[in-house]
Amino acid sequence: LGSGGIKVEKILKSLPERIQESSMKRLEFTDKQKHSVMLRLQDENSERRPFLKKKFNPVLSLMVLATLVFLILKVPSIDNQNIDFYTSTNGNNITGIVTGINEVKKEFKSFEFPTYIPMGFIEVETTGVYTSPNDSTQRVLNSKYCKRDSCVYILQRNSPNPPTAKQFKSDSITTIKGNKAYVFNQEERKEIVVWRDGDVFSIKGSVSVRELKKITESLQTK
Amino acid sequence: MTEENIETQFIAAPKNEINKTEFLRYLMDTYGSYVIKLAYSYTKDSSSAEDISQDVFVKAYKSFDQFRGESSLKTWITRITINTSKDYLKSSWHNKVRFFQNKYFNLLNAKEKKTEIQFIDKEENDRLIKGILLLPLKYREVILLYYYQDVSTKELSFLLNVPIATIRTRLSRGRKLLKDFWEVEE
Repeated sequence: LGSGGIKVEKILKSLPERIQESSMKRLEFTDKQKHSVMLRLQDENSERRPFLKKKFNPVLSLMVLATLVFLILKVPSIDNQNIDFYTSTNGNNITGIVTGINEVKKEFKSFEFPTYIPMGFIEVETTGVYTSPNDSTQRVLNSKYCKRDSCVYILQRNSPNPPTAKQFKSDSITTIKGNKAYVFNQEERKEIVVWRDGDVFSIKGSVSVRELKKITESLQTK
Repeated sequence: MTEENIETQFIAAPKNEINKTEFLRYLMDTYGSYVIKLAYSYTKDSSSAEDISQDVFVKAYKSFDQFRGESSLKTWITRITINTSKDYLKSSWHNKVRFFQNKYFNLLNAKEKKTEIQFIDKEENDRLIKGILLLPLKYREVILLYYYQDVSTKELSFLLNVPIATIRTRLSRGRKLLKDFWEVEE
């Protein structure tokens, strides 16, 4: 290389292979870093609350606090809200967990995910849980999409038989893609429960029932 | 399905949150290593390169709505990486840290540099990379993009916003500096 420019040119042309063989190849964008990017996006969404940018106003803050306390006492949070027995995971029966949307898609071919999600919501968590040590077909699949503090939860689990109206004292019953869907449209519970092909789905969250219906309609395996 | 087909699908798909998140995952899986190496060629520091890479993907996610597919995804992500790396190098925070380290932590800094250089010196091939990393930025970026990433002089002109003739001059001077470096090392 020291003898002339032509040699420099020749060596430089082999740069891709040389970098592959060098220590620089250690520089990889790891899963941890990918996860950090997703978390940062989530955090940035949370930080965009405009009222936080305004000056501190003690009176307004007290009013907000009082309203929050009132709401907390009156309305159970979505996370604490009891998921219906039909779609809940019994923690004692977990025999294996798969996390991450791509991993869950690979592991559970029947996993249905939405192709529609309301504007601003991003996927923050997807898990697949095996619930029987002896039967690998028994599983619960769970996705969570959030925008700031609002989240939408989608649960899918085996259920050989469709739920009945007696089990679900819903506010109304509608049809989604030809299947009976139970709609809960209360201030503290907005949820759609639908059964098809041996699976029961629960789609719920702090968005309108109309949006929940659109999400439910968009569920598909690929 | 080829990468090109996948990218065309992403560009054509409605820009909703699901597609954007899928797109972001695809970008990170496909171009993650490329972006971090490119950022490293600017900062010469692996930790900063990691931070910059994350910034690049956050920016890509946010500006995906504006991406119309007029250039390839690789060109687009390269441009974001170059701009983010240069912003980092220009940032007052970076300069303050560098000043602080130089002034008060020479020993510590020297120790860190030694580690980094040891890392670079490990193999014969790293000698060439070390030479490139020691080049001034304007030569380093064109050498790496042209020879390592196979970016044409025309694309370089677009990416760096300088005339093609300037790109050719920088390539030529970069090669000359590398040659001198190699002769000194020998």
